[in-house]
Amino acid sequence: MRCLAVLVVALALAVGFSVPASANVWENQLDSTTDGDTATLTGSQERQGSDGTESRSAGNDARGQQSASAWTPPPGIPPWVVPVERCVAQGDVAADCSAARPGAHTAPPPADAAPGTPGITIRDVASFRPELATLTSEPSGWAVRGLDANILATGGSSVRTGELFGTVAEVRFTPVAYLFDYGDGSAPLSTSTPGATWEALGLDEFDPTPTSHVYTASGTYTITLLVDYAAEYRVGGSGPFTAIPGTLAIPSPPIEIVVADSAATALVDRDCVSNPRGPGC
Amino acid sequence: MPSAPPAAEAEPLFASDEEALAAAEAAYAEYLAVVNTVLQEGGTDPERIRPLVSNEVWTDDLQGAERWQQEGLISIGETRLEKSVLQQVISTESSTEVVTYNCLSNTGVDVLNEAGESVVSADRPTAYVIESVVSFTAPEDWTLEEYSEVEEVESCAAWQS
Repeated sequence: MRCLAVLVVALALAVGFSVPASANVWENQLDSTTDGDTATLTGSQERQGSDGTESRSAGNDARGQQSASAWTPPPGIPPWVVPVERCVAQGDVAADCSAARPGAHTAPPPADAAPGTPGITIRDVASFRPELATLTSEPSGWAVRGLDANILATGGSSVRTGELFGTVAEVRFTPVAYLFDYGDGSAPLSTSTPGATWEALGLDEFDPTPTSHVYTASGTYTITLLVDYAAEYRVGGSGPFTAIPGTLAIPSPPIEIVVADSAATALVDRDCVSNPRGPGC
Repeated sequence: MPSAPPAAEAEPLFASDEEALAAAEAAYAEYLAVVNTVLQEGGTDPERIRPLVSNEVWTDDLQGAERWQQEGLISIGETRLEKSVLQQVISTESSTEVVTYNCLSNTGVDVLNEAGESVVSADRPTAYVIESVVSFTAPEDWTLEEYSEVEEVESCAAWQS
């Protein structure tokens, strides 16, 4: 195994092949590969440490060249080129499930599909971005330590039109699960409800709701939301939608919330006249 | 004049190549886990990486973290270390350096901007091999000295098999 590893690099050096400029985890998660953005391996792969001398490895030469290049999004990047499928059954967030559940997300062709129409998978429709759910908090942007802050998601189903296997198709996304992370180190809340405002629930401010959260320490917290979307599709602009197995887990833009020690602190620039429903009023 | 006695040969830090590989692989996996966390948290608090790496690696990684912060990027999923193979072990009086090739997989990883849009290149490789150098002064006391990309591969399962 060791010889093979060396051989791979030695052959690469011998033919002077190029590797992508990106070299670390950061760059390779994006991959800034472009035609003019490669570094050529040169130099010796041998390393000698026992006598205190070492020659630089080929990889270091490559890295030295690439470190000067700044990443810019290449033109034409599809908006969603690497869909993230969520393993709901396993509880994994944003994990690739294709290996864990081989074939599980391959849908049969719809009954009315034209001959030769391939089965549609969740990955096929991932380029149709659903309308993102929006995180909001009540009271807006702040909370009081020890009292419930109502965190909720808004945004329902959305239909997107685009091309699927050369045919115009509509894809309908419906949020089916929500993962609220309140940013304070507590366990994220996984729920099928997006939550609702206190008013819609017929509750008073700071009452508990299915998606509310009590912060135990003051400070500023970043709340994140991951929404699982189910997808359906149809072609031809009419007829029923056909469900596609699997879900897409897509994060919503995070929000920040400031948690104050007391109602008096939270309402430092307000009073019970201007905000009669504020805490403590 | 009597000649000086021969210097005692340093006790090898690892009893075998397999042991050295296992230690280096575990070290790189620990480093990768921290990097993944920083990536998933938008590049915040990159100082978590600092105790694990050399100045050279730290400089590179800090640049990456700062870009994540400046561009409002977050990563979904994680880069995974799927296979390591040993290149060589270099023993000196002060430390033992273990050079390995590590196959990393980006399958299932996405990078989103502030609008929640993916900014991943369409032709991003799903797997790639890096060479890493981990120096040990004790089996549990290590530093990632350097790393560099060697090649892109179709998959780690196919690599070296």
